[in-house]
Amino acid sequence: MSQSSGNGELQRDFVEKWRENGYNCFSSGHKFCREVCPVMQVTRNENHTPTAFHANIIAMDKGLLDIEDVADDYVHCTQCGGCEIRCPNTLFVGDFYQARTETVKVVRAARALMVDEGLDRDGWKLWNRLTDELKNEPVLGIEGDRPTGQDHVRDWAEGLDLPVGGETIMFADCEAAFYRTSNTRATAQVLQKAGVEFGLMNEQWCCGGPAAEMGYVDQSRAFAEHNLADWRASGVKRVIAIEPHDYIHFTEDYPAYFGEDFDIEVVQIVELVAELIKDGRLKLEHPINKTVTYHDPCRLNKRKNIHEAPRYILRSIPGLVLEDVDHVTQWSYCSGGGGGLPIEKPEITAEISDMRLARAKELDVDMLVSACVWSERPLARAGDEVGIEVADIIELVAESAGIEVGGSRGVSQPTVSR
Amino acid sequence: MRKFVYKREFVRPEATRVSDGVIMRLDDVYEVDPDLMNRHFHQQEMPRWDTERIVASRNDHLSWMHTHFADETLVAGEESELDLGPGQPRDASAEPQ
Amino acid sequence: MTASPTVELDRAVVADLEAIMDEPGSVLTDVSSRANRSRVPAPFPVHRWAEHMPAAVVLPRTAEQVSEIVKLANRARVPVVPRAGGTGLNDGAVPLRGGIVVDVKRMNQIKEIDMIDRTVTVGPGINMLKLNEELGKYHVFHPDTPASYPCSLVGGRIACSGFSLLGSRFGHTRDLVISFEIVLPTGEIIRVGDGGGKKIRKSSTGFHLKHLFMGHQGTLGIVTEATLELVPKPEAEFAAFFAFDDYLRAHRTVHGIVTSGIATLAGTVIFDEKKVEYLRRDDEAFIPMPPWVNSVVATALYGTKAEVSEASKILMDLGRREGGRYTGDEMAVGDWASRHDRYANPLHGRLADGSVAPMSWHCEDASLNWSVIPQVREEWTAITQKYVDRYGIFDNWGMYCYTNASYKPWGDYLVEIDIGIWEEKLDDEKWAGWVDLKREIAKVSLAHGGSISSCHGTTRAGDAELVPEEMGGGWDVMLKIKRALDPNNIMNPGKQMLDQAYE
Repeated sequence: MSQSSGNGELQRDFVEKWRENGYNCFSSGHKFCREVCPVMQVTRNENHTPTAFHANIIAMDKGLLDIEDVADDYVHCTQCGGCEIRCPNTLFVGDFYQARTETVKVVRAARALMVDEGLDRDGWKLWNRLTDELKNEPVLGIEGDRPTGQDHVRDWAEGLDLPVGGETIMFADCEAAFYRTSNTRATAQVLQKAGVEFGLMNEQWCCGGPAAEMGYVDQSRAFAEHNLADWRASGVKRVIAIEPHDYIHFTEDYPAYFGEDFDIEVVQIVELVAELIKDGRLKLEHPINKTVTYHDPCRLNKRKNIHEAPRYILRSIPGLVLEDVDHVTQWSYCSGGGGGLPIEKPEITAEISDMRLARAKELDVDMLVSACVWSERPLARAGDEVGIEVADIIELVAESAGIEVGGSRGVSQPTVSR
Repeated sequence: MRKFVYKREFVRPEATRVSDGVIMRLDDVYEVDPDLMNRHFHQQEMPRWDTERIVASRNDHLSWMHTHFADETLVAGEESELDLGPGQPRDASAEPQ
Repeated sequence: MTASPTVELDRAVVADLEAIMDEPGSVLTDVSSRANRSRVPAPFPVHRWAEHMPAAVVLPRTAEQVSEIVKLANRARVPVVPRAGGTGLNDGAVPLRGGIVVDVKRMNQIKEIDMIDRTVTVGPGINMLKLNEELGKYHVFHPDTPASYPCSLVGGRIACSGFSLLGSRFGHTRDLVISFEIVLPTGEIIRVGDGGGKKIRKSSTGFHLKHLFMGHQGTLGIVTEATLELVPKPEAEFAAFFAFDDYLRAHRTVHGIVTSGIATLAGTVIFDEKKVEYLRRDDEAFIPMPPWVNSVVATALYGTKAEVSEASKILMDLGRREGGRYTGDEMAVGDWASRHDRYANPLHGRLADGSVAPMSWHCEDASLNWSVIPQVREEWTAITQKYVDRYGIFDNWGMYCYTNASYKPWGDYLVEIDIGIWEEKLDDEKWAGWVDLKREIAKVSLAHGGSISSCHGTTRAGDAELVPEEMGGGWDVMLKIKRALDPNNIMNPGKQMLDQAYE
C-alpha cells in the first residue's frame, strides 16, 4: 500500500463513484478500444489502455493498488473519446441502457484524485497555476517573456473594430487568442463578412476546460463561474465556440456545473460557417488550388459527431480537391494535442502527430486541414518534417472569401509549400 | 446546424411502453425500462445530443463494416416477412412461397 | 518444474532482463503493469486477482530478445507466459504461477507485403482489423475474422488456432497462416510451415510442424513473426436472416444450406430460442422480433458479384424451404455487420427478478456434428438452468451454432452457449460452482463425440481436466512432446494438465 496523504477516504469515494463504470468495462474486457486509442498505438503498453483505466478502479476496490501506483498511467490520455464511442457498450447499447463507457470522465476523476492527494504532475501543476495567475493559458511559453494574460487577450483583434458585449459573443480560446492569431482573425472576419452580429467578452478568461481535463476541478469551476457572470453582465444569450475544446467544455462541463441555470445557447463555428455558406451569406469565390485531406478533430468527430459540416465547407471552396478519409476510420486518428498530454509527454504527442501526418502523406496531398487550433500546433510541427502544410479550415474559408487575414500561425510557420 | 440549449438536451419527453422491459422516448430510440436499472447498475444522465451521437455513429460504423469487407453489399431486395407469422415447410414439388 | 509460483523476481533476474532489452520502460515490475496483465475477457476470479498476477512484464521488439528472455527463464527456472492481445476466451494468457509475462504488442509491424506471391509478413502483435485497413489499399485482405476481430492479435490467433466467422469460405487461422517463426521453450528460434519454404502452402517434406504449434496455447513457445495469406477483397457480400418458430426447422434449414454446394458460402449460424430472447433485450438495435420467433438462421456469402448474385437467389430459396421467414433487407444488412459487437454486452445480464446486472461472458465453444446439436441444446439448456437457479449469479444468454470446418460448411459446428456471470459477486463457492457448470457442459460435448473446444482452447479449470479424456491415446504423445520441447516446464506452465508430463 502507498503512503498517500489522508486515510484513503478520497480514494474510497472515487472507487464508490466509478465502480459501476469500472465493472461495465471489466466484465466485458473486449478491448475494442485498444486499437482505436492514439496513445496505445504509440506505446503499445496495456497500462495506457481505457481497459486498464477502468480495471484500476476494481483493483483499488480489491486493495491491489492505490492511485499513487497508477498516477503516471492516467497521464497517458488525450481524452479524444475514441474509446468511448467505439466501445460496444456505448455504440451498440449505450442509448438503450442510457449508460455508456465514460473513459474521459474516469480519467478526469482519477486526475482530480491525484490533485487532491498531492500526486499531480509538475508540468500540469505549473501550467494551471500560471493559468490561474494570467486567467489565460500560458500558450506562449512558461518563461514569461512573451505576453499572455488579460492585458493582451484582445491584441489579436487589432484593426478589426470588434465590439465588446452583445447578445452573441465569439469566445476566443487561449491558443487562438495568443498563438495562432490567424485563426481568431480569420474567424472574426468571416463572421463579419457574412453579416453575423457578435462581440467579444468583457473579460476573456480561459474557458476552464484544460483545468478540468488535468484534474483541477475547483479552478475549472471558478473560471466557468466567472465566464458565466461575464456573459450575464453583458446580456449574452449565445456563445459561438470557435474551438472544439471550448465547445466540449461549454456543452458538457458548464451544464454539469450550473444545471438548468445554464441558459446560454452554444453553437460551434464549423457548423455555423457551413450554414452561412449554404444560405449564401458567405460567398467563397477565390479559388484555392490545392489537394487536401481533412483531419477530423477528436472533440468534433468522436466526442460530438460533428463531421459533415467541415466536409461541406471544404467541398464548397473552389479549386480545392478533397482526398477524404471517412470519419469512422478517423476514430483512431488524433493529433495528440489534447488532455494535457503535450505538457507532460511531448514525445508521445509528437509520435501521434507523426503518425497522423504519415497517413496524410500516403494520400499525396499538399495540405492537411484541421478544424481544431489545438491540434494544429503539433500537426504543423509534424507536417514541417514531411513537407505537408497544416492549415486551419476557417483560415481557408477566409482566404476563399477574399479576406486578408493577418495574424500569425505561431512559431512553426510552414517552411514548405508545393 | 445544431444549437446546444439546456432544456432540449436534458428535459426528457414522456416515455411510452413498447414491450416488457422496453420503453421509447425519442423517435425510433428504444430504451430499457428504467425500473430494471437503478438497482445493481445505474443509468447516467444522458443528454439528447449523446443519444443522437450514439445512434448516428452506430449506423455509420455498420456501413463502414460493410465496405471494410467487400466493395458492394448486395441485398435480396425483399421486405420483411415477419408480420406473416411462422411459415410452413414446402414439399419438394410445391412452388416456392 | 516450478512447484510454487514466482511472485517476485530476484534482482539479478530483473537486471538480466533489463540488459537483454536495453530500453527504458520495457521491463516492468510495478503493480499496475502486473495487475493489468492478469486477466483475459473469460470469466475471472476477481476475488483472487492477486494470485493471477505475474512477477514482471517484458515488452520485447525482436525475436532475438524473446529468445534471450526464454533462455534466461530456463536458467532461472522462472515461468514465462506469452501474451498477445489478452483477448482469449480461455485462460491461455492468464498467469497461474506468476513468472514473466512476455507481452508482444510492440512487435506489430508489417514487414513485407508481397502482391506477387500473395503474402503479408507481420509481427505477432498486430491486430487483423488494423492490418486489413492497410491491406485495403491493395484491394486484398487477410480474412481471419473472429468475433474479436477488432482487438485480437496474430500471435494469439496462432496460439489458439482461431476460428473465423468467414471460415467456411476462406478458412480459419490455421489455413490463413502460411508459416511462422517461433521461439521454442528452450530459446531456439525456428520457422515452421508446410515444409521449409516461407511462402509454401502445401508440402510433404518432414513432419507438419506448423500444425503442432498451431493451437498450442502458448505452451510450446512464443510466435515472433508470421507470414499470412492475401486474399482478393471480395467484390460483393450478401447476408440473409430467416426466422422460425421451431428450432428443429431452423436446424434442418441449415443442413440444406450447407450441403447445397454454394461455393461462396462464408458461414451459417443458428440462433436458439434463448439467444433470440437475449437479443430481444435490446430490441432497439434492429427490427424487433415478433413473439412467435424462436429461432433464426443467418447466412452470408462473399465473392465476385457474379457468383454472389446468383448464389443469393439459391440461398433465399433454401432459407424458406422449411418455412423460414425472411427478416428483410435492413436487418440482414445491419445485423450481419454487427456480428463482432452486438453479442456480449455486460448490461444484457439479467437476474431472476429481471433487473439488469453487469455480467461477464462465458462462451462455450464445442465442436459438434450436425446430428447431435438438438440433443446437446436440450442438455446444455437444462444444465445451465440448474446453475442459474442454484447460484443466482448466472444468466443463460442462449446458443449459437456456426459452421466450423474450413471450406466444408457441412462438416461440423462451433456450438456455443453464452452464459452471463455476475463477476462482482464471485467468491470461492460461486467460482467452484462456475467451474462445475463449465465441466458439466464440456462433458456433454464429449458424450456426443465432439471436441470441447473449437477455438478458444482448453487451458482453464472446467476444461483442462477433460483434455486427457478427449485426446485418448494422443494424450500420452502430447506429454512426450511437451517434455521434450520444454524440459524445465517454463512455457506457460499449469495449463491444459500438461504438468502431468513431469510426474
